[in-house]
Amino acid sequence: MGERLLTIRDLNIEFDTPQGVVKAVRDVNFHVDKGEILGIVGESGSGKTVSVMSCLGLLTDNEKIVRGEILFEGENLSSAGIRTEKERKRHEQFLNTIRGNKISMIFQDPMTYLNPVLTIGTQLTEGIMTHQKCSKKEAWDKSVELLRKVGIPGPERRMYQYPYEFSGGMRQRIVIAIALSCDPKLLIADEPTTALDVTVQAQILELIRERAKADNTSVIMITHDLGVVASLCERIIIMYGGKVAEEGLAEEIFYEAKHPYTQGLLGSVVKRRQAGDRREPLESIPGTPPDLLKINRGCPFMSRCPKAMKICKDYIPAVTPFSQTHSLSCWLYCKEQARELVERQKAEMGAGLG
Amino acid sequence: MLSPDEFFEPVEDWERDTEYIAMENKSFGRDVWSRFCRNRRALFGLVCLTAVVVLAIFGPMVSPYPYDGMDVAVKNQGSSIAHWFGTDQFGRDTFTRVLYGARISLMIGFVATAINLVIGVLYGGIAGYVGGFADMVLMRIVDIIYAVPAMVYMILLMLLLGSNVYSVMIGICVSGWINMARIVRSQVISLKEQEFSVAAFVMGASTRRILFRHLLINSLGPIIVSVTLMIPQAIFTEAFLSFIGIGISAPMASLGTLAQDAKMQLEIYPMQMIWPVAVICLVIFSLNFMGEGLEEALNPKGKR
Amino acid sequence: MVKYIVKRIGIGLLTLFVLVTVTFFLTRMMPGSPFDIANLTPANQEKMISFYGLDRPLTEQYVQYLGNLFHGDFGVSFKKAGVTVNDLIASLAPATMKLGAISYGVSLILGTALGIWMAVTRQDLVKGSILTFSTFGVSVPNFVLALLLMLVFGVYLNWFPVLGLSTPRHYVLPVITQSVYPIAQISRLVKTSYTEAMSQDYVVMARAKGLKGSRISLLHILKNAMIPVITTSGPMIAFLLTGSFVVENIFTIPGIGREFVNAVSNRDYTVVMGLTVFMGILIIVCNLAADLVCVLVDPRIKMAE
Repeated sequence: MGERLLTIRDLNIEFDTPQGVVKAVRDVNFHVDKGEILGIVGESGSGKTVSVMSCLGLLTDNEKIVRGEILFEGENLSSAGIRTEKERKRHEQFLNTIRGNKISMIFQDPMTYLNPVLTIGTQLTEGIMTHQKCSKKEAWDKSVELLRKVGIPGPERRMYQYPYEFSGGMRQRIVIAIALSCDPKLLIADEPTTALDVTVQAQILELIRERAKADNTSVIMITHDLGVVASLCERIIIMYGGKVAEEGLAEEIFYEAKHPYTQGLLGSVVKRRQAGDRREPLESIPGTPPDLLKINRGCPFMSRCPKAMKICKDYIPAVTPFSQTHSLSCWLYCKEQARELVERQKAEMGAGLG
Repeated sequence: MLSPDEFFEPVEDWERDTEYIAMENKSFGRDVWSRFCRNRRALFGLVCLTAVVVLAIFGPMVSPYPYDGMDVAVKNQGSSIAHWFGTDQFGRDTFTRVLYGARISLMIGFVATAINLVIGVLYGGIAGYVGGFADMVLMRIVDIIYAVPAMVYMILLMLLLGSNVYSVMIGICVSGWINMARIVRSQVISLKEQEFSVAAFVMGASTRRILFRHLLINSLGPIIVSVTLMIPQAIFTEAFLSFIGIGISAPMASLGTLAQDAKMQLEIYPMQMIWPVAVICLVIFSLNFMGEGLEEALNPKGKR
Repeated sequence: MVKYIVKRIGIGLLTLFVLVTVTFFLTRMMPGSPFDIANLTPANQEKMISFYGLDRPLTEQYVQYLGNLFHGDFGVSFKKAGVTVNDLIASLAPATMKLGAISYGVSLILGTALGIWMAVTRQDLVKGSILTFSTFGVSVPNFVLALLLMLVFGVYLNWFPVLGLSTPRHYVLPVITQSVYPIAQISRLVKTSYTEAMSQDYVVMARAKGLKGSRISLLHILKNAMIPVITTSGPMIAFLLTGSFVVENIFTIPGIGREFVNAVSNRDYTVVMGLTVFMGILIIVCNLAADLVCVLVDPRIKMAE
């Protein structure tokens, strides 16, 4: 096992909305090792994007980290506990030395994440010039080199062009070039292929893998597409309803999935059929992802779980390890603890009656 | 409370609680109205405007003085019990004249806006609905009118048609409908592409039905907002024309001509200027507040 | 790019042509002769009319007027003997244009600053006050504002001179009068567009790059937010020009606006026509300039055309 790069402990994030407080992320723990590619899989609203956005302090005004640590190379990036405006400013300044420098991001939609009124050259060099002591000329040369590395032909000329003059796939390559511009230690890719044509998705993924391996950069790949993680990631985290449902190496998730949600996800992937196979209908998970405003006290997946038990309604299952790398949180696999809970409840009720 | 013995029993379907009604269903009109009322400035505007309108309609009727009755014995008086706002250089009661002027100004504002509304909606609706070459020609015309200084043409028209209420209205209508036409056109174009009008077309609804029943009804919000902002514009234009001396001629009076009359003796009797000017400002202010309130109420996404 | 500019210039010329034509026929249709003065005998009136060519067919006059305009000749004044419209413009335009340019500059800077302030502040009180000010700004007619300013700061307090434009202090009150409405309008526009631009994805991207806050707001957001402001600069210039009719009258500034109102009441056709056409050209040129700045700021526009 490699050296820890990023460790997230007990992360809790809440949104203030006009309808009430949304607990978007609850007690999330995970870590990323140096040089490793980690996949985070979940439906929209599962808290996967918010968890990683919080690492860079990119939450909006109404979203905040209420509790938890985000340790990156020994420094805490979490804004939990910051009260005064002065502290907030200092923290923001500190984060600015990390953002785009040691940790950088690739976003979902390259159409909207590039500024339409600035040239590619400006958008590439500004990050380099912010973080590295170098002249405009050096930054420019480095940017040209980066564009070449991500596979954009004629980079010298392309530097003067605007985003609208590029295709979607090309723009995503530019976004990747910007993300790589300061040789980050950690690259966070938030659904980098969702908005792209199917034909270029594989190229982009391959590009990310190739660049990451070349510079020994760690990658967090956020996606809802199991195909993406299968081809790319070494370790996978499955999130549901703001919590980690299951975590494990890619083989463990794909071949030994234990959590009913993971099993459901795997079941709903289109499988390759051989000639003569029986036509089976595509499986799906019934229901919709939970509304985090009205979430119940227990397991968030309870309402859609085919194996739900009464205990799931009121009690959140603890994290149960299966192997060094594989763990999950489901009452089906921690009957021991469940029994303890039952005993304790009974004793309390008995005491209450007596 | 759940008994621990039941913990491992499977849950019943009703316990899954997947479906629930997210929000109470309010009608659109009620919703807009309640948001409008929560906006204090908009409500203030509505109250003030209503007060001015009521006074302008009924004030001159119950006032003991006619708006054009001169009385040399009481000229240039200050405020008193007999003459609340004092009198002007010909001894006419300023309070009556201000209310009468407000009546004319408001009338011009409302009527001119109504005309502009009809022209703008028809013009923009046709341009947007027909599209293609006709749209291009119609919009080029709009561009040209938009690019010339409209006020200058109003002045030329006033010279041509003479100084009276009708020519002021015509003058305002030279270019007042341009914005409305643009708004309606862009609304119609964007709505035309949406599924419900395609559905209406596929079901064989007539062109007129699609145009009125589906497209115009759905662009009502922006139209209403734009109307509340057009009225003060018209009132301002009338006051401006009257102020530079080519608006409405005596003995008729609008708020603009009252200000113009008082200009001569401004340094001696500033109050004669203050009253009509205050009413103009109040009316335009109220309408603008209401327009903003409506815009926010109709388009709650815009407020953050 | 070249194609876009040529197209814009073409539309500008077309607008100019329509403007000249409409102005010509409107002024010629006006009731009353310019020489309808008591001390002029009918015979002398006839003479004047034929001297200025007013007895020839309208179309002929029109063609000649177009020809003269083409050579930059706006004609002569009917009322002021020997004064050409060109002279009038040459002597009066600088004051009006200077006042207009200063007012527009002030409005642009203050309006943008207030708009950004409204967009970024978290204090509802600040936001509410600026919003109320801007509603006030668009609601008070400019002649009212000019009179109030003159009365309070010119006559009662005697802080600023109110006659002419001879020293910088003379500019204060007219510039305030002319700027309040544009400031209010621009601040609203900027507030809306800035708020919208702030919520765009590219701002998240800029933050993720670790850029300084000032660079994000002044380059990434503002450059996008200024586009609607630039497109409305044409109507703003038109507003300032028509505003000059009252402002120059009240503050006794020898400019185009004051002369225009005088010519209108004197029925001095050629001056009215000449000044109208001149103002039209000014506005058309400003619109053209605004279009070009727009393309420079937002390169997507020329694609959409």
